[in-house]
Amino acid sequence: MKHFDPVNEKAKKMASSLSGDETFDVVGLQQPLGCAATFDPGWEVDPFGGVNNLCQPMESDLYGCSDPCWWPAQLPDTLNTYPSWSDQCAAVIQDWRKLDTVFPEIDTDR
Amino acid sequence: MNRSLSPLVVVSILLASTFFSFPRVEAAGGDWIIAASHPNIVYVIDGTTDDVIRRIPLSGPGYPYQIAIDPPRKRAYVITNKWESIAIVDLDAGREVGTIELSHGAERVKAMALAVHPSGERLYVYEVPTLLGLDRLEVRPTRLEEFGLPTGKSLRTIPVPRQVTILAVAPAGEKLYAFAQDAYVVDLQRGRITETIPLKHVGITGLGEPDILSVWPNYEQTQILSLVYSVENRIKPDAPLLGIVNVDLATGSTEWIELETVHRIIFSSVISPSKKKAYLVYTTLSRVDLEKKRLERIVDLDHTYYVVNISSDGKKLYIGGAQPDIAVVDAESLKVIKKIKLRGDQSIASLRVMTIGR
Amino acid sequence: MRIVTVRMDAMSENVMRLRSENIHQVVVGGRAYLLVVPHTALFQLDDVSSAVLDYVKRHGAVRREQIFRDLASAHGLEALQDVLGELASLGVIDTGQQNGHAADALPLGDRGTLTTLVLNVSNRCNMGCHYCYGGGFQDLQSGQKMSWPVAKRSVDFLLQRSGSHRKVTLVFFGGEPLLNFELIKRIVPYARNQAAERGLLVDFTITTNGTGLTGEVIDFLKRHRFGVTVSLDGPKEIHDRRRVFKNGRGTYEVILPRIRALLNEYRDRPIGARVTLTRGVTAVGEIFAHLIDLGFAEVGFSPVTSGPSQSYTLTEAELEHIFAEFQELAEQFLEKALNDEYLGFSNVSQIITDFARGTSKTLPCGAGLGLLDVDHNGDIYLCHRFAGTPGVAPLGNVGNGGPHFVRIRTFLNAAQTTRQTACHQCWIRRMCAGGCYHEALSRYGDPFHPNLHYCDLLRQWMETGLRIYLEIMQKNPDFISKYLEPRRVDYETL
Repeated sequence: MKHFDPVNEKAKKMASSLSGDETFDVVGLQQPLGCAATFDPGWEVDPFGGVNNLCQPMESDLYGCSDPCWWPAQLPDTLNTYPSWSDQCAAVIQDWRKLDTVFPEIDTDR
Repeated sequence: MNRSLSPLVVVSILLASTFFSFPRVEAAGGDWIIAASHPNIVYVIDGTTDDVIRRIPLSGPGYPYQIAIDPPRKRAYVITNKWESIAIVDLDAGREVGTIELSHGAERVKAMALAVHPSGERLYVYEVPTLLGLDRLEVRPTRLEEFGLPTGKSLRTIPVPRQVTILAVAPAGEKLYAFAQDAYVVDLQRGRITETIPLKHVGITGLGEPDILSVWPNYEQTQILSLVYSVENRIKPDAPLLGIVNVDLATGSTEWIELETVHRIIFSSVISPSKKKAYLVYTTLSRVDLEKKRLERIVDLDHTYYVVNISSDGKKLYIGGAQPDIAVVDAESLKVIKKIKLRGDQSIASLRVMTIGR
Repeated sequence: MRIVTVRMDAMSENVMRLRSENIHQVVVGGRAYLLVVPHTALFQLDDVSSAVLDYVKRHGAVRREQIFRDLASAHGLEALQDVLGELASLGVIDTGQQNGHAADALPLGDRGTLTTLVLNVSNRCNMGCHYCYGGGFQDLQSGQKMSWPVAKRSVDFLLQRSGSHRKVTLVFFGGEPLLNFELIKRIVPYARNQAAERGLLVDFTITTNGTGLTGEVIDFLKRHRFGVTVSLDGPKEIHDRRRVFKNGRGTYEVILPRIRALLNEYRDRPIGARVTLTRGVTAVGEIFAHLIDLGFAEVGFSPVTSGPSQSYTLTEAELEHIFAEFQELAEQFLEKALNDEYLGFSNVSQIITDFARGTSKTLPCGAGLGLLDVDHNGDIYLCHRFAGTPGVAPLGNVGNGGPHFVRIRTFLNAAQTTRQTACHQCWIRRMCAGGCYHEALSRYGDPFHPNLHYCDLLRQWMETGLRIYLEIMQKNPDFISKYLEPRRVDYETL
């Protein structure tokens, strides 16, 4: 920084991080399983702006996405946090009503 | 009659139905199709009748993911238990005979790919370990772990980069391929990566970096792994290209085949035993003439299938994944000739074809 | 991890808006300084940055070209561009060119590790001070002592929950902790051994009223290098006003020889005095002088402001008087510091340490973050103040699975959210963070409520601290590393 002279420790840290002296490695935790098309947007619309190239029907793709935590923000993470979310529903097209909502497990998390 | 059944009775009824609904069929020489589905089941399908002849529930929680096969010993190794265990399955006996646990203590280990050595004596697992501390997660380096078979004893680990999704051992057994954005070749004698086959970084003039989906190991008939890619065409940016890249596991050579501009999605492809055709699947099924390097037939499917595999004589395709059914397709007409019903969704589980009695 | 909020208002990319809530400016010794509030980062300004900041402040939102037009002749275009870039990267102005800025909320991802456990080894006390918040304990007379199994489980719990921390602290508190000296004698070696097995260091501290400081006790505290704080209120006539035995007799004469013995015999660590300022007990300077004369290394003052109804709560006028006396002591602190001497006035040395370091908090203290309290039954509370407070349920029990960490996280998140909303314009928000939860509970019936009743005084007090820090930095900067850094608390590991 040219016009701001640090006079405490935090300011020194900020100045050095803003000047790019400090860098950190970023590593992915898991493989994001990229779909074949680079522009894969998710369930709402296919890469071509239509719905033809979404999984048909949508239910057939649910576990394909949730099992590998492909869209973890939209579905419970069955690999780590909610492993039994889909236990009552082996086939989504028949049994999707048995997929329930999940909540943080307050009583068991100590 | 008792108003309620004791839990023990219920269990024995369930077991009975498991055993008796599939009377033991002695498999002659021929193909076995090995599939898996939710909740946590592995199936053996006789490739002559295309009937399920073994239905093998795995122990523990979770669902099956990748399957590695050992045809001479009629065994399968299946990633299950939230990707933290490998189930060892005796396919002939129709039961799980052992489990290799990958997570130990505070180290959580997720398996993302596996392969059996052609000798049947060693199993390779690609592992993503994380140390679970009370106040932090420590990401540990990814690695290949080698297990002795049938003991399941850990023999050694070899560091490999992240993002590996398929493992395959070369037919001669001297090297192993780890498919990630590029393919790493591990020299099994020396225990380290000796070569990298560029895939994402192939650098074809006029093209961007290919985006490759490698999830399904299905190279049984040819020892050629065929992967679907899409890539930016820098000359015509509004017309990205779709193709397949075929990696010969014996030699490590790659062949890139451009097929069309991207206007549909393809998830997987397989090479015919004659090596003259390739088949591509998703919501359509298509056949590629590998000599002319072009698409020759495309048919619509009734729903999405993720994975395609092929019989040892090249006459039948098995398309599966996603929903609870496998369609048996005539490789010539591309017509569905039979549907095999499974208990639950296959999701992204492997669909393998193994040939018995050769 | 940062939470990024994207500003959706249509801001032209050349318009700059001052984020006035993120800055505080002072001039000390003729030099201009900028405190970047969210980070407690202090910078000295030069002519250009001063001019630009003044200009933007005067105009609120200005176009880039306007600044160039008006200031380029004096400062040059290039310098102006640099300053604008630097102001933006410090989060002081919005330029519309960033697509977001760091919000104040810091996510609490911790699954519950501890550095400090407070043990109420005895909820009984042999004194009957009028203002004691321990008054909520059912009966100070017949109050119970912590048992060995509870103490042992507490130590095990602290060590198990230490996570990646290498050093933990066990605090003995009461009631009067020395009424259960038998237990302290037993638990200290146990904690030592258990910690050593895990490769951890354990530090012991105790807060006592001084009545139990026998020769044996002093030897023990010395042998285990205890950090010792004595609660007392100053010279006899002041001290005996509220710090009395249950029969109403003053305690000063009883504790004095014991405290002298402690101060004479135990010199390995600085011993602190903790003074409670209440109605009628406001002679800060006199109290301070007396305690320093006795030989205390540090004296800290806690003004009682919590409940308006109690007879001992300070009046507004008294509070103002106290802060005026604080100011005087602060000037003495500065004078000494410039002569390279240290005055043990904790209230100011703590602030100066915070400014030197740049302590930036979204929560007022370590309660629930790295610190928990265990009462004699093994019940767990956020801190020692909550133990025994009527209507406050324990967060769990050390004998029964430990605390509900989810409840604690929920509490801390709520505290963070409520106070950030209420305090979002205040320049000391990252140092005060709304103040003590327990005080807020007593005063407002809501632990999340910011302690608004002393805001103005505290801001003035911080202003004094900031000025003193900057003067020290101008005239004797080595003072900080010499006297303050060795005693500072490592907040970032809390």
